[in-house]
Amino acid sequence: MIKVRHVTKSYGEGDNLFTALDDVTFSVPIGASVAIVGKSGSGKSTLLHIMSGLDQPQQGEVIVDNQNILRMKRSAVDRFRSQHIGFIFQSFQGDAQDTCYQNVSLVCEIADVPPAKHHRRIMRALEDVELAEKKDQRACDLSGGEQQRLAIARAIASKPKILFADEPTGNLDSVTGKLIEDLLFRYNREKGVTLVLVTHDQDLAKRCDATIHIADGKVIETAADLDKGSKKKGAAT
Amino acid sequence: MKARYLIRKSGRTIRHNRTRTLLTSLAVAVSAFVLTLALAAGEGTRQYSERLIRTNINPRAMFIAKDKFAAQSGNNQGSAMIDYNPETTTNQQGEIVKQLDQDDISFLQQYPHLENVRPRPSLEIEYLALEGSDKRFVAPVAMYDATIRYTLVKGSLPPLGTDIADDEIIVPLRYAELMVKRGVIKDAESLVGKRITLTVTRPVNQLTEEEIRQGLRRGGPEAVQELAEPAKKEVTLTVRALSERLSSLSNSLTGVIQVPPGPLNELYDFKTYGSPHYKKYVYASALVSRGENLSEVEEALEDIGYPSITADDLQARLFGIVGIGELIALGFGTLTLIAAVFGIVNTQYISVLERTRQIGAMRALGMRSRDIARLFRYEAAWIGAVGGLIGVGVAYMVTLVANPLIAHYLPIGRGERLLIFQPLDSLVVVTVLTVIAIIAGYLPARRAARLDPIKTLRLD
Repeated sequence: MIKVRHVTKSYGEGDNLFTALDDVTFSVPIGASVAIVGKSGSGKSTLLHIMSGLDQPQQGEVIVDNQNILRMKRSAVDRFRSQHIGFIFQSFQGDAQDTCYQNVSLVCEIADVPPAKHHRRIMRALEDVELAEKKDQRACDLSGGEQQRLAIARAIASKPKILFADEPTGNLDSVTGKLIEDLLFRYNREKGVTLVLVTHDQDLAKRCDATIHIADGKVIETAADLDKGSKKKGAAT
Repeated sequence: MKARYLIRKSGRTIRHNRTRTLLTSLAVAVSAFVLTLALAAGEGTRQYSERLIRTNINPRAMFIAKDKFAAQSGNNQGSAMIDYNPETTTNQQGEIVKQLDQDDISFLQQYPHLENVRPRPSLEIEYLALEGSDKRFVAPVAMYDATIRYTLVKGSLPPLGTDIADDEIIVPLRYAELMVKRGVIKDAESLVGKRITLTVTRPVNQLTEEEIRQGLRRGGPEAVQELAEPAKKEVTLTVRALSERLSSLSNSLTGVIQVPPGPLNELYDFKTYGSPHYKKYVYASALVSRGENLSEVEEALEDIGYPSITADDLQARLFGIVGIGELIALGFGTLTLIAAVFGIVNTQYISVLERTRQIGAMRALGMRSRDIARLFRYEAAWIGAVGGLIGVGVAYMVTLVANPLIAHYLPIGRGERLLIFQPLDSLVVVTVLTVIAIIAGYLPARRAARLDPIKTLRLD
């Protein structure tokens, strides 16, 4: 369960004060898929960053596995993120000159996966996204869709419990985007991994168990159907 | 994150940015090159001069003087004005120095730890000429030194420690070449076996009444006339060998005409007869007896007023000069290193800028900022190590190519190497350059580590 409690994040001071997130509270059960939707600048990316411990809000707490990750030491948050969280961005954001294999390997290295398990983990992840045959190709030689698949492979190689995806299909055409979506939801379903998506694609949001609408830093609406992933009803408030 | 992963990953980045990295590495390579060559030249010169001294000069040989300045010839303190002393003379360097007299020579000859003590007259001849030719030359002469191994072009020498015969002489090749140029001989080597006459003169003597009377009694007015003329003495010697100048080290003594002790003393005594220099000498040469401690004998002699110089002193002085040269070269190497450091800083800042987003992504994937900093520092280390290896490698090849050339163009002897590549020193050079590169990469690496992952991710 990921619990977001009274999270408030603002930038600047005095007249320039800008509140990106204003007292945001909701929960995501384990294994659920949740879409955070809103216009650009509504604070949805900031929310994702705070939920992963990358960013610090002025107030509030984020509790994952009964631990408030905002209270953890920075190195502990980093380790937590490397072992339990997978990240997918709008574009690949890896080392374009490295091969697919090397890009995925980096995650295992960061997460201190025992070296003996590296190869199996990497190949499993690449097979899951159907890139095993291109393992020795450089990332810059892949198509946009393949690069995004590689990003997913990289995110899942450390066997995370939670996948955060920030506009994962934003740069792709609809056919390729659909393939990426399918991959993410299949992984969510088969491995029971909690999936948190930031998107402004309504169709993508509809495929999730729950949708959290954000406008001007506030949760204005939750369309919840969160009992698929857990027995709790109405976990999002 | 484990160091080997970071080293591997930074190595890949270096390979991917080959051109940029290589250019920066080349700046490092230049200083590695200069440093390695400076060390190689220093070591080569030291080994060469040591070998030269060891093989050419009997290590037991010493030059003894009465004057410290003479023993340390080369510093100009002797050119100061001092109290008059009939014992002083002006040596070849124009320094006023005290002389050894007959008592000193006898004392030294009886000194228990010395053998083969000989006065070394410094003689200036009036002229020399080849027998049968009226073309006259002037050249410096020195006493044949049986403790030194000469390099010969033609002819032969007796074994070390044995003097040449009293009617023999050794002439440097370049003197013979001048004789060829002046048409006295056909070719330089033909001088061997020919006879050369050395002539010295003594200024006109103010004749005493007694001398005039004796002269008249002996041979009439002609005899008196002869007595009043500048006196002249000649010795004629056969050229036994042609020597070649070895190096500046042995130039002053072995690079001139070598006359055996007998005729040299004869000429010197004649020339200085009646002057304050008669039977007085700036130097005496000697051998320290076998089994004696050279420096102990040297110190004991100095304590009783006979400073001396040995092959060891000569070597120490040479090493001092070599060391200064080496330091200057190392200084230049260090200067180029400073330039290289700025190159590394610049390259790494650009590298951080270029990969800002990648850094953000790595942070999001859980890489600690400490590891990001290490990643960039290792990149800098690679630049330093690659540059160092290139520089050392090129320097090594240069020593291979340059040594035969140097031996060919400089008169140091065939097969001699003035550049001696030092594998261990080179390893130290590469290591030091790598460490300096890491230090140079510190600031860029810190900037990379301090990048706010949120801001870098927003660049999307």
